[in-house]
Amino acid sequence: MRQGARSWQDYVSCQASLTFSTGIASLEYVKFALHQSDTRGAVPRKMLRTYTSGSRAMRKVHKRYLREFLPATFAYAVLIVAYGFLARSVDSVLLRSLLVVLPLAPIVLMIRAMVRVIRDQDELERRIDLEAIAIASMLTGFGFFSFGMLLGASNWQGAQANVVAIWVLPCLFLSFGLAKIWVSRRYPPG
Amino acid sequence: MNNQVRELRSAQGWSQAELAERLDVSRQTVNAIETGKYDPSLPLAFGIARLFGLSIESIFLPGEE
Repeated sequence: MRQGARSWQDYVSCQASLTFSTGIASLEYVKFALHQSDTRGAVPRKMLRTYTSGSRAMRKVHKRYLREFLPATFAYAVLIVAYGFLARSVDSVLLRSLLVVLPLAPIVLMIRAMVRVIRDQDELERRIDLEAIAIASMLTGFGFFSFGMLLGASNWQGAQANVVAIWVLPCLFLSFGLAKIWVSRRYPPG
Repeated sequence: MNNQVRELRSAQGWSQAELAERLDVSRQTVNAIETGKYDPSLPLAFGIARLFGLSIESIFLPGEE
């Protein structure tokens, strides 16, 4: 296999996992809202009802988060896949570089959505999110640091540096989702 | 810290969801305050006091340290 082809496949597969993990993080939000809603029925119907119905509906701040975050995630996934397909056929370095940096635009929108939801949700929700972010960032940061040390100590050649680096973000999202579920258990919805 | 939020809410005939909507917080937050698992910030405590037409100190009572 050509080195170029292999590297873009690695890139796309790892970025797809990133998108998947981002999806998990946002789904976690839906689950969180569902948990508060007291609605009954099958999950898709429940989700729709939670999103739309009166006083038991998902709060406006979380609806806005989903409205802003999910399209940005979708745009990011589309741009990453487009890069995967187009990178091989584009010879111009400038154009290839543009294809690489283009997904940064929806990432800015994702950051904006996350900052706005943290800022505008209520104080307990903010506390839960910030505790979960603290746990997830420390766990991921020190986890990868220890993993790097372990690789150095054991002289293991199994993991390529770029693949290890690409997995940092998915691990952060996943650990955030799990940490949030764990922290939320302290404050049951009643 | 102890509080009278559950009693005041019941006296008004409101559900947790209704109180949460009036205070613009989640039902989880209302439940956490009522069960004493979370002490609200001063602005939220003022909001609760204003909603029930009472002073903060008549709703929130210092617990045992």
